Amino acid sequence: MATGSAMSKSVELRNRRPKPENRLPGNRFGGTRLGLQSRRSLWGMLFALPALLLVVLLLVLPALQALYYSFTSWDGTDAQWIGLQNYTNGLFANPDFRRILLNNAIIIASVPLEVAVALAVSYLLMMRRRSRPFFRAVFFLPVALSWVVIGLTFGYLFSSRGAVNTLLDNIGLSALSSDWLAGDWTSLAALILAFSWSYLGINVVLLSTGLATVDPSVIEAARLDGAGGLGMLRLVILPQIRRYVELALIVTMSAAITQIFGLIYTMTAGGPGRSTTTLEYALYQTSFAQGNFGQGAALGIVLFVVSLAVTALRIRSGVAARD
Amino acid sequence: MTDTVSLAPLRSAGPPARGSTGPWQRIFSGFGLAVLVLLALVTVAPIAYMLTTSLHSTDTAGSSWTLEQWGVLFQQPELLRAIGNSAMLCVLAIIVQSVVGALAGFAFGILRFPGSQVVLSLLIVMMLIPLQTYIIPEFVNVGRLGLVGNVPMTALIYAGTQMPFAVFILTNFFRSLPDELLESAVIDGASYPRAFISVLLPLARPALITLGVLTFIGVWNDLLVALLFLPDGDTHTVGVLLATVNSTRTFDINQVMATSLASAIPCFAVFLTFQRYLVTGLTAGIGK
Repeated sequence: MATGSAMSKSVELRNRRPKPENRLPGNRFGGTRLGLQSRRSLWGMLFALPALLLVVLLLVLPALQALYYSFTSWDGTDAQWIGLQNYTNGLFANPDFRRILLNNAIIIASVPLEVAVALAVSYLLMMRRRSRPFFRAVFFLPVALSWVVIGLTFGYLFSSRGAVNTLLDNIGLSALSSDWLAGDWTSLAALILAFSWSYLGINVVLLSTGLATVDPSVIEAARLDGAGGLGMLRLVILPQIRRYVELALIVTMSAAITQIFGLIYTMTAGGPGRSTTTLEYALYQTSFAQGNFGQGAALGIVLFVVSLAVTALRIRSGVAARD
Repeated sequence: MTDTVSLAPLRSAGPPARGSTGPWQRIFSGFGLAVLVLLALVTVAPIAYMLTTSLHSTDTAGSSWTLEQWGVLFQQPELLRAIGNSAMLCVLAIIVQSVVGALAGFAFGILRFPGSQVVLSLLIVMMLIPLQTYIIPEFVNVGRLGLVGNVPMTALIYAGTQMPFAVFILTNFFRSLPDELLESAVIDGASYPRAFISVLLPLARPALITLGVLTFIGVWNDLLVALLFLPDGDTHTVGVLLATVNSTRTFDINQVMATSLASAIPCFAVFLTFQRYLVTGLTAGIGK
């Protein structure tokens, strides 16, 4: 290729495209092409600049600050370097923190079950052509509600004189009724239930999209070979929609650990005690209720590591799938 | 596409498959329907509860239906102001995100300056950092600038923190366009900004709608950022107003449920209108 050495680098970067500059007028005159190319690069840098500025100022800078302040006692103005104390004394030696980690682990562990239910629903819907739009719309209804609204509603539903207890009384199961949100584990279970209730619709839509990509002729062939019901799902369909199942798992897990602040705030306020406090809620409480910003920053770093671990699962399985 | 090809075997195989439906398959199908109906009931029940609660008042609890709660809804100045604030935040965040994100998507996806793909990778990696990790320094920084309680600043925070995702979606979109679009516009004498605005930007409409829908829902339903950055009564959003209602003296479950449902109406409307864009956004990055 008759490109000057100065050009080869930028051509390389654009190697996924055909080389359209070969078709430009003035192609034979290196100077003209170089001028055009560098003008293009200049505009590119200029156009990328606003986005980069916003991200550096509003994301990268505060993230680096968070890392630094997590090693300090910081109250918003004064910061003393205290090494790892926020992590050692403040977190891992603290029973409250262990409970918070346990809550996060339980919430994450419940996600595969939620996705399995959504997968079952999507699979059942796939075979029901006529009623499918109706059911999909129904399951998607809660998705439009904010976590604040869901938290308020489920807070009422599970309160001591709420609808859940009324229902249990009416069907003769008064023995089962309890003050759900006052119990250590019942409150966590109620929170997870509220979360799953809202996320079913998103997962059904995600997995239905995946199921729609499955080649119908493969299903027919398997059916003629005698596959049906669960066997069909496990052996024929699941391998083909693996990426969608993984996406559903990641999306739901990330939401469960980083996006339900509004739900916890309105439904249980993290209580009773620490029984429904997750990392993201503890971070808010520690920083803004107790004014311990340094400790809060350390919680933020732990949250980052946990969510990175969840995402890394996907990257790993993505690499494995490509092999 | 190959629709006709792939559907043909399905159609021809349909009748024999139905004929071979055994008793087990019929039981499975009936059981499946029962599961679907049960789950649908569980899904609808809390919403039905909200609706019936909002249609009663504390004076007439359990006895008679009333539209009282919905009637007084729009006579509350705080609620109207909160709706205004939420709408303003959504509009500003969407505008900033679309303009800045589309420019960057064009730069990374089509113009591609030296080193752009490295910068892009770094930008996309930022998607892995949860908002909560850096929200405290962000809050202190914005506080130092005296901009806590400022609606445009808060919209900028929404747009900025979601920018890596926006650039990711838009870059992928612009990459899928043929390079000839830009080249021919430039040969015809258009400048790069001109070519961007009149040739490429109009084509990006679906990607921009997807982003706009996701941002609208995210901002409208957010609590954390609004709670921290808009703490004053006159800048409260709908979410903050509802979330702090428990601690106010005018606490009335029927009224709260009416407000809750009303606050979700814009989202229901957006969902119904833009359903397919939402699916595109949810599965972004999977089908490449």
